Amino acid sequence: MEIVKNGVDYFFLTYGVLLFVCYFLLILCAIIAIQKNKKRSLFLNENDIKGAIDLPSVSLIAPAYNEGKTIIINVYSLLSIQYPYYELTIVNDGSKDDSLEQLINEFNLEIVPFYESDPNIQHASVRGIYKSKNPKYKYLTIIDKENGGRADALNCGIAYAKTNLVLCTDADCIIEQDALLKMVRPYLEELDKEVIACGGAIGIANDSIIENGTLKELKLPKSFLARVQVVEYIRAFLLGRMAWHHLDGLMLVSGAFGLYPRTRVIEVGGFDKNTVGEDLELCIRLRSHMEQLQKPYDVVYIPETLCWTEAPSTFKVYITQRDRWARGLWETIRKHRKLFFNPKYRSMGMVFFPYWVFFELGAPIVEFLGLICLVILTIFGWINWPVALALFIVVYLIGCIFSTAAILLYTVNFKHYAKGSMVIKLLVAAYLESFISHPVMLYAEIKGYFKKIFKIKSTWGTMTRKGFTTK
Amino acid sequence: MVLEQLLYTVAIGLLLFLVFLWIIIGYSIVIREFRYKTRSKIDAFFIEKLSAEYMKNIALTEQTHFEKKQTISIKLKNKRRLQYASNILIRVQDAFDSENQEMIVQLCEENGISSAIDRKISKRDWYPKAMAIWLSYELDLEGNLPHIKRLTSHKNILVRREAQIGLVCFWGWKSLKMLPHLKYPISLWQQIRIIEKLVDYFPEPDLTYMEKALKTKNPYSIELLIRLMRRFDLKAYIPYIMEQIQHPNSNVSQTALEVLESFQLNNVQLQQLEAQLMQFTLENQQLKVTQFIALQRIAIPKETPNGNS
Repeated sequence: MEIVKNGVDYFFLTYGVLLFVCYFLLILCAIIAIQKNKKRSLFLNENDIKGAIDLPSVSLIAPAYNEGKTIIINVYSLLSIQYPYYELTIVNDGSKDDSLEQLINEFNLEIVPFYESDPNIQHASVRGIYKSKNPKYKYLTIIDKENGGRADALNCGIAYAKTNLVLCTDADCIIEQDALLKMVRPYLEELDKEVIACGGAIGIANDSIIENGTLKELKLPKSFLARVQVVEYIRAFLLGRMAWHHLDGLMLVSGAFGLYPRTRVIEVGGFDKNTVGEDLELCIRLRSHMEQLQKPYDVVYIPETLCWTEAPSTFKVYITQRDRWARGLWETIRKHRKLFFNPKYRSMGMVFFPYWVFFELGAPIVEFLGLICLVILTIFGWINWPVALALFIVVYLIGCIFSTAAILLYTVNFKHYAKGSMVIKLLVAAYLESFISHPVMLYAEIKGYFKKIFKIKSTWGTMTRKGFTTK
Repeated sequence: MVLEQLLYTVAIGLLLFLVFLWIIIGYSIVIREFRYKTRSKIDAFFIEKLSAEYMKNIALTEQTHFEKKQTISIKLKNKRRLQYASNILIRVQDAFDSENQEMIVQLCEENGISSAIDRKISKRDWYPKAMAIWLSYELDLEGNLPHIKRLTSHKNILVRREAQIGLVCFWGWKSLKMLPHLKYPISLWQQIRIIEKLVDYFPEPDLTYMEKALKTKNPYSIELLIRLMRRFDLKAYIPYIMEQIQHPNSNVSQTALEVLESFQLNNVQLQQLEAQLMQFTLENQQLKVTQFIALQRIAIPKETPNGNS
C-alpha cells in the first residue's frame, strides 16, 4: 500500500514539476520572441505597402449562422478593413432567422449565376450566390448554403475564393482596420520557409464601445468571468503562442482569426467537418502535409491584438464553450495519433505533439485524478495537512507568478490595458481565477472528455451572446 | 516538518518575486505616463520649429499667429527620444514630399539626430545599424551613402535589406545595376518597398540601368525586375517576361504569368505563350497557363489572317 501511495505522490509531483518547468521555459522564449518581434516591426511600416500592386490578394471568409441581430453592423465593419486587394465573403450557413433578407435589403444584393468552385473541397449544397448591384460593394459576396456547420461554411467560402490567401474569421468578430496589412507581412517576408498559417492575437471586447463596427473604446468586462478570460487570453496568446512560434512549434491558429494560403488549404481538403476543433485540426494537418512533402515551412503568430470577440459572460455558456474545445482537442489528438513520438515528423512528432498530448490534453485528466486521490487520501486519513497546505500555497503562488508575468509583458508591450486601475482589476481576476472559474473549466473539460470516451452524441452547442455595446 | 519548512521558505521566495513583478508593473505604468508627456513635449517642439520655418515664406499678415518665440526646449540625448523625434520628421517628410528637404536636414543636424545616426551606422550590432540606415534614407541624409553602399551584402538580413533600399532611395534607377551582383534572396516585402520607393521618388524610368540589371541570374532579382516592368507599364519588356515563364524557379515563372496578365498580349505573343505551355511538365503551372490563355482569348478578339477582327 505504501508503494502505491508513494507512486501516486511521485507521479503528481513529477507531472507538476515538469509542467512548471515547461511553463517557465515558455515564458523565457516568449520574452525573447516579443523583443525580437518588437525590433523587427519597427522596420515594417504598413504605410510602405498600402499603395503597392504586388500584394497577395486576400478573401475574408466569415460564416454566419443566425447572426441577424448584428449581421449588418458586422458586415460594414468587415468591409471597412484597409487592404488594396481584398474580397469579403459572408457564408450564410442555412440561418433560420432573417440574416439573408437583411443583407439583401441593406446591400442591394442580386442573385448571380453559379460559378465554378474548387472541386477538391467538399461542402453542403449552395442555394445561391449574391452580389451587390451597388458598385461600392463590388467586393462583397454572400453565399447562401444549406446548414453544415462552421467548418463546412468555411470550406464553401474557400472553394469559391479566387485569391492567394484566405482569412477565416467569424461574422461576429471586430477586426482592426490595419489587421490585414499586418497579417500579410509574414507572407511578404518569407524566404526560405513557406508560411502555411498566420494567426493574430484575439482580445475580449465585452462591454467595450463599438462605433460603426470598429472598437472605439476598450473597457474591461464587467462580468468577473469575462475578465478572467481576458487574463487567460493574454496568457495563452502572449506567453503560449508567442513562445511556440519562437520554437517553430506553433500548432494552433485560432479559428476566429487565421490566414492561410488558399492552395495549401485546398491541397489538404480544407477544414474537417467531423471535428469541433477544426482550427487546431487544420493547423496540425497542414504541418503534417508539409512534413510529408519535406518542404520547409513556418506557422507564424503576430502578438498584436488584431481581432476582438465577445467572451462568454455566464457560466452556462462558458461550460458549453470549454466542453466543445475539450472535445475538439480530444478528436484532433486522436485523429493525428500517428504523429505521437513519430521521428518521421521530426520535432513536430517528437516534441510538439507529445507536449500537446501530455500537457494540453493530459492536464485536466491529471488534475481530475488528483482531486479523486485527494478525496480518497482524506477518507483514509493519509494526508499530512500542514504539508498539503504549504504545497498548495507554493503551487498557487507559481500560478499567480505566471499570470502576473503575462500581464506585465502585455502592459509593457501593448497599450490596451495601460491604466493602473485596469491592471489591478486584471491582477485580482487572475488571483481569484483558481478558486472561481478554474474549477468550472475543469468540470467542462472533463465533461467534454467524458462525452468522447462514452461516445455520447454532442454538437457544437449554442453560444448565446449578449452583443457588443454599439453607438 | 523539514518539508513543511522548506515549502514555506519557497513560498516566501515566490511571494517576494511576485511583489517584485508588481513593482515592475507599477514602474512601467509610471514610466509610460512620463514617456507620454515627454513625447507630447517633443511633438510641441517640432510643431513650433516646423511651423516657424514654414511661415517664413508666407505673407506677413498670415504669419502673425505663428510669430511666437520658441518656448519649448527639449533634450534629445535619450535613444528613445531620438527615435521618436526621427519618426516625427519622417512623417513630415512623407506628408510634404521633398519640398522641405533642407529644413529636415537642418533640424536633424541642430537636434543631434544626424550625429546619432552617424554613430549608430558604425555600430557592430545589427539593430542600431539597420535602424540608422533606415533613418538615413527616410530623412534623406545623403552623407551616410558611403556607409550604406558598403552594407548591401551584409550578413544580417535586415542590415542588407535596408542598405539595398537605401541605395534605391539615393540613386534611383541607377541602383538597379547592383542586381546582377546580389547573392542573397530578396523577400517580396523588400521588392515591394524598392518598387514603391522608385514610384515615389523616381517616377521616370531610366532604361539604361534596366538593361544592365537584366543580366542578373538571381531569381529574386528577376522577380523584382518583372514586377518593376508591370508597375511602370514597360511593354517593351514583354518578351523578357515571357522568357521567364520557363524559368526553373517556380516563383519566377508564376510571377511572370501574373505580371503578363496585366498586359494586353497580341496574337503572336499569345501563340508564343501557347508554344511555351507545351514544354511544361509541372501540372499546376500548365493549368495556370491554360487559364491565362483562355482569359486572354476572351479579352482580345482573335485576328483573322487578313487582319480583320
